[in-house]
Amino acid sequence: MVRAHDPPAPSPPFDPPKLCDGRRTAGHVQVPDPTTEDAGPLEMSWKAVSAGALVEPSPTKLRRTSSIAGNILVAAEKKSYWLQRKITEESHSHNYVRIGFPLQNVTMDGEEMSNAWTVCKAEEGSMYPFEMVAIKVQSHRQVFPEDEDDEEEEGEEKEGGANKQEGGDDDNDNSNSQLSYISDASVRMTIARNAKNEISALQLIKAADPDGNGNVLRAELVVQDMVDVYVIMPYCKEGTLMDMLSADSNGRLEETEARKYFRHVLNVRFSACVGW
Amino acid sequence: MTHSSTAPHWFLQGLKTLQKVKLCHRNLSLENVLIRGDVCYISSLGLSLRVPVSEDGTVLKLMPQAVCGKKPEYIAPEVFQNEPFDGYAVDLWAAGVMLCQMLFGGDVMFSAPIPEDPKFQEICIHGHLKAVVDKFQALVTDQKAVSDAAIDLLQSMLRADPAERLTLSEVQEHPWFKDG
Repeated sequence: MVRAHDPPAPSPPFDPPKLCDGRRTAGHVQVPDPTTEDAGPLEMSWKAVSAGALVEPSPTKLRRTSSIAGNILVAAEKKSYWLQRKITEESHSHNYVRIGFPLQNVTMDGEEMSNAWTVCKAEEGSMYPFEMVAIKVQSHRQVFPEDEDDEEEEGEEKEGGANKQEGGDDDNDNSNSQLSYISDASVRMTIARNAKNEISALQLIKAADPDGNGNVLRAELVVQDMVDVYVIMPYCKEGTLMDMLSADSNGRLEETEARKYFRHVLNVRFSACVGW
Repeated sequence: MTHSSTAPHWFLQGLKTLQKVKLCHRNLSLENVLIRGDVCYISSLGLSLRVPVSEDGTVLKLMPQAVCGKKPEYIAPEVFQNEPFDGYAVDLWAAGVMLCQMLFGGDVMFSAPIPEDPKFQEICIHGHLKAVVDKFQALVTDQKAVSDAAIDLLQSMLRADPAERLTLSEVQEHPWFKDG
């Protein structure tokens, strides 16, 4: 409980976020063909999803059995992700979130190929044929502006992201190069602090809740390359609670539904309340 | 699936986790809760702060912050007035607003937590949520029944004075939350 006579205190600073190194590259991605016979059920589930989903990746990309693909993020510990299109700017705060497919290296004659991947099939019972993640992409300078400010003062924003390496992309819409263009320095600092704190907060939660029972969206991995910081999170295909309400003509939920979600929301806070 | 037999287990899990973490979110809203399958997850921790705790383990109030959430209806009145605030109480305020929106849609809500807003005055200062809700229920065509217990809980969460507001453990003990 809060005692009335205690003076207010500043918030203790977060530990700096821990980032693992990665790189963007191009390579072969094999996609199992959902139209072949043994993949029949996959095709069916895909159609079911396309009809009603809020967000869906482009099916044409999934149909290709093999292609040279750009936008592959290779992180340490052999984790690779195939970055797809932007899905939202809002539900994950002020940054772009892309959908992504976790990849695994293709093995040939028992050896792992370093530049050929295949997408991972989803778990049994999933609505989608392949595993998916959400990847929040923020420019490095947005997360760590103080590093930049030490080195360069003037004119740095004009170049915003022009030095990116994004060769060989067949599905790159160049959106993240616009991310870093924020002219007002104070706004930039605020957003930067938020971005950095958010990663620290997510890592704090992950350390305390390794099994993910706390009803907070977790960062599975945080990767940086020369240009960007990538926060890899589970993909929530049902959207936000707001979307759920919007589906009703009056924007309301049944009481039992509301209670269910309310319990989920409070679950995390239960433990945060000291003294119970 | 939420039924009462599984709920206590969750709470225990959460308890273990977040007592160590001591965070307040500060930007809780319907838009920042994502759904995966049948379960919601809180996201957008960009404005979260670590809650200060004194040496004897007492939670301390936070100093007023330069930046807060963008949606005025979710901002607790004490934050709106730029006063020192209890980080946990402001999150519970936002959770109350979310529950209110889930049960009644946006029309029952006040637009800002200021005494000049008549609905805020009525609900959060005078404690007349029931009257506001009855007036609203008479106007909508598709009746979704809301129990008196739910209204009682909401009323106790949406108190302008943070000291009168239910704490997390009190919400958990409320019959509407516990049963049903």
